[in-house]
Amino acid sequence: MPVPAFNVGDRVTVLPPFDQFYPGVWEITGINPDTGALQIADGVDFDASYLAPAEEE
Amino acid sequence: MPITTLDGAIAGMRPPMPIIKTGIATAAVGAMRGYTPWYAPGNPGASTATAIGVNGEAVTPALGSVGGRIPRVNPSAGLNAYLGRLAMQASQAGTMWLIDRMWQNSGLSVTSAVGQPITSAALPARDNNGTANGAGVMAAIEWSATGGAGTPTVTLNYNDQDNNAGTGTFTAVASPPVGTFEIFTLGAGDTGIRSLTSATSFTQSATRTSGTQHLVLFRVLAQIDVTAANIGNAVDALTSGFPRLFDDTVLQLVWFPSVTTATNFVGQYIETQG
Repeated sequence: MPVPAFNVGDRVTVLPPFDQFYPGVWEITGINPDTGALQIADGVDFDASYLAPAEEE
Repeated sequence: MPITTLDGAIAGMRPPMPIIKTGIATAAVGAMRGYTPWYAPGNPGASTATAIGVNGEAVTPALGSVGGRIPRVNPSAGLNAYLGRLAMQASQAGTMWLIDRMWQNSGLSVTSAVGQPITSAALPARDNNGTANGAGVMAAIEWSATGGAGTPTVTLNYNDQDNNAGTGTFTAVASPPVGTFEIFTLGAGDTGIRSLTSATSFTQSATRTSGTQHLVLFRVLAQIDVTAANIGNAVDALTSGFPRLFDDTVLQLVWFPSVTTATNFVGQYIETQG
C-alpha cells in the first residue's frame, strides 16, 4: 500500500505500535531538517509509514 | 549466612575501591535520560563496546567488554555480598545510580524504521530475587558512538517479570553523545523485564541517522543525590537499604545530570561480605 505524502499542518493519526503512546489526532508541526522525518508533538520524528490522514468529522 | 547485624556489616567490609571518572557534555537534560561514564576514561578505565549481536549476552566480569566496571570479587562459598558504602562527589549537581549491568547487545540498526527482532540470551540470576525472572530489571539504549539528529519515539516489546507481554517506550534525544543512557518506561503494572522474544522487539518511528546503540538490561542497586556541585554525598549499609550483590554483579554508574556541562566524578565503593 503506498504511503501518503504529508505536509506541515496536515492532521494525522499515529499507527501501531506507536498509537498507544500517541493516541488521537495530531498536527504535523515540522520536518526534521536533517532526516526529513515528519514531526508531531513538539519534535517527535515519524516516518510517513507510521502516519495516516485523520478522518475529518 | 546472611549479615543480620550492623556489627556483621562492619566486620565484613572489603577494601574501598576508588572511582575517578572524566565525563563529557551530555545530551539535553530530560526525564528518563541519563549519562553513563562506562566508556569514559578514569579509574576504572573505559569499557569497550560489545560486538555480541542483537540477541545479546548475559554480562559477567569475565567478558572482555566490561573493563570499566567497578572492581569487586565474589564472596567465598556460603557468604553473601552487600553494598557497604558508596560515596560520590561531582562537579555539577545531579543524581547517581549504581546499577548491575546484567545484559547487553549490539547490532541494532540506528536508521531502520521497522521492527527489529531480538531473541534475548537469558538474563543472569541477578534480579531483585537472585533469579533470572526479571524482577526489578530495567532497559535502556546506551550509545557507544555519538548518534545523529533523528528524534523518533522508540518502543521495546518485552516479556515482563511474570512473563506477560509488555511494551516500553522513550522519546529519543537528538545527537546523543557517547554514554547517553535512554531508559524505557515499562507498561502499566510491570516492574521488570525477563526477556525479549518478539519479531518486533525494538522499533524506532524514524531514523536516528548515525551512531552506535546498545540495548542494556540492568538492576538499580543504589542512588546518591548530589545536591550541589563539588559537595559529596554517600549512602551506607543502612541508608542504601542494604542491597544484596549477587555473584558476578557488574557495577556501572549512571548519572542523571541537572545541566549538560561536562561533569567529573570522584567517589568510593565499599562492599561488605558475610
